[in-house]
Amino acid sequence: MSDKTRAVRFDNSAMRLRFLTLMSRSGVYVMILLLLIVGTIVAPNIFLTFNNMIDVIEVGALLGTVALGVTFVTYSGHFVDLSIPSIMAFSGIIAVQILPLGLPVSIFGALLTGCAIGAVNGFMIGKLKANPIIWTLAVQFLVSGMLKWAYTGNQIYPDAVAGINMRVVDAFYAIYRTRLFGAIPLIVVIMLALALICQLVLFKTRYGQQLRVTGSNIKAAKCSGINTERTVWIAFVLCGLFGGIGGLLLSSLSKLGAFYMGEGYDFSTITAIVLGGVTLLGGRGNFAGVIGGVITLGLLSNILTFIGLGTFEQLFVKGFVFILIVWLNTFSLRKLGRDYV
Amino acid sequence: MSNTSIGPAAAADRRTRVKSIKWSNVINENRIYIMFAIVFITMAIIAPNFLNLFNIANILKGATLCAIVSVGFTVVLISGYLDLSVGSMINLGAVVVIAVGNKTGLVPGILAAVAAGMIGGLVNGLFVTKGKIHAFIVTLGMLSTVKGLLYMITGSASINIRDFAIVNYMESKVLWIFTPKVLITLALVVLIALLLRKTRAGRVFFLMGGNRETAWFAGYNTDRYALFAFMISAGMAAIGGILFALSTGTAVPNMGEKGLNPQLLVIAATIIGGTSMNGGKGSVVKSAFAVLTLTMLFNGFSCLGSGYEVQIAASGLILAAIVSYEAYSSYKADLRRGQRMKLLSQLDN
Repeated sequence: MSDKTRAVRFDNSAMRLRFLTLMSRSGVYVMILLLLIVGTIVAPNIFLTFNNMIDVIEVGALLGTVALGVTFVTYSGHFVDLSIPSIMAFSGIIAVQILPLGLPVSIFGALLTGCAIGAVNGFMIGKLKANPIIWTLAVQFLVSGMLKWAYTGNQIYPDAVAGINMRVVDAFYAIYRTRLFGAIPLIVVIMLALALICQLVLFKTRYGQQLRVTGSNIKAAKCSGINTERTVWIAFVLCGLFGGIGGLLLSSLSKLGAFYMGEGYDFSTITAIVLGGVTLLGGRGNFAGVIGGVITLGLLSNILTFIGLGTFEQLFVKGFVFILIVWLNTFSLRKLGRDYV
Repeated sequence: MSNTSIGPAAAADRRTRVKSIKWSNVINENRIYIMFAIVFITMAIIAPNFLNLFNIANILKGATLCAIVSVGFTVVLISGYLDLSVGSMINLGAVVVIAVGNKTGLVPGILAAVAAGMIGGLVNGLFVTKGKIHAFIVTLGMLSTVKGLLYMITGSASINIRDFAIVNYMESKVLWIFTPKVLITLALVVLIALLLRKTRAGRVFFLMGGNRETAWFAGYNTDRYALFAFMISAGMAAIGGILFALSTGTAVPNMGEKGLNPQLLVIAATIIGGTSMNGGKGSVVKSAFAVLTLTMLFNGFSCLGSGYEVQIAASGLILAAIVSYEAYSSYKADLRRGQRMKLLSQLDN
């Protein structure tokens, strides 16, 4: 197509090549640097303080945790898990509901719930090869409808469920609110630690290697003897696990469990993931980029708030910035000849 | 399996699947009509007050918005793309027709709203074809951008129509049980169905969806047709929004975010109607029928006295059942394909 004619005119000057490589490898960190400079100009006194930076990361920490899980799915070439909101809501409700049995049981229950839904998704999509978007949408409808039905649209509160055992309830609330050394929020540490683990899993383990090949080319992976069905399945289970962690944290933050928790996380996670340089076709990007994507979103709303734009103007600007950054990434990949999309 | 089925392998894949399960294919092709009949008969028997003219008129009226949007959405899916921005385009049409209509009169308002939707579709299409960004991402960005724009225009409040004559007209039964809204919807469905079946553009949409490179080699300017498809999708969504706003007399920038989201319903209905996410296969009439079936199901549930949550769960269950059935049959076809390589090579010749 027109790509091929353009490839002939491909300008190979070293400077340009270096720029394109930089943009395709770590475009999102270039963007973060740019945003840091802009922010310093906009609000010189407040922006580059320790507290503000911690705030920016803390706001995105929950999104980041969930996004790490969805990245496994996107990386395996299966677009997105639209059932993330229902996974988060379900595991949040389970966590609150079984809180009287103790905090460890509650946490375990939430993670198990996430894994269970993820396993069903993985079976249908990995093994039976259902379309990921449609299947996860169906699961989202089904689970959220059933939750609403089971709880007749009501929220449940930990202190009401656990009764007199306030010590457990306080511990549950504290999950989100703990600050290590009095300054660094626990959830930021959780997110960064999980990102590190995911990065190691992706690049240092056998499963990671299989996932990388599967994401790049599922047919080639199958021909080279990789059990692609199991690989995709595990990706969805991991996605459910991280969704469960997200649901637990969210119900700890909002001090309740409800069917509507996690609404909007389906598309905001994919925004962060794609910003971070993971392409929808799979097999490209890494977890450091995803964290970068989350931080970019946080910085962007931080700066736009300093400029004085409201939530709605921010929606407008963010939509365009999203398309722009993704365009930069795909454009540089294409010019480097790595992608022909 | 990769999601964009490009190349001869995918075509052969589809061909073998069709040949190996012939009888069930006939049922599968017409499943939406069968489902329609089943839902109609079941509800007529078990749901009180379901089978009377007033309720049936209500069902038709309720299906109009999603039916119109699903028609446009089907065109985009057939040409092998995806349009997630329809949710915002509905609201764009609704807000623009009332905001402009209040100032300049109804006809310029309607024209402005349709134009606004089409411009949105044009921007989508330009980003996808010229910027070569994945349609999923572009339309997701547009969803947020247009939503922000609408909040800015309306100040996040609902805006009301000034002249209620049009509202009365839209709600009046001009022909038996049909309101103008229903008649316009029928006309649009027939129009787009004819466009797909009888014109060159329609044939190119199918060809593009099946294999974009082949369409390009056949001498069609695929980029231009992609632009056209996106404009149809966004334009139809805007028209749906216009009709909805004119018959309720009010427009809000966030319609459908509470309760049953029309956008997700449209995606579900289009797939239930048999349109393929991989492109190249589908029918707007079946999509409209799927919307009608789901609306009828919801209506029947509310006749039985159950709320939104049961409706959402039921639509999820139906969607899940259909996806499982499709996945299972293609899984079995895959298994069979691995075992009889020689037979298959004969089939391909």
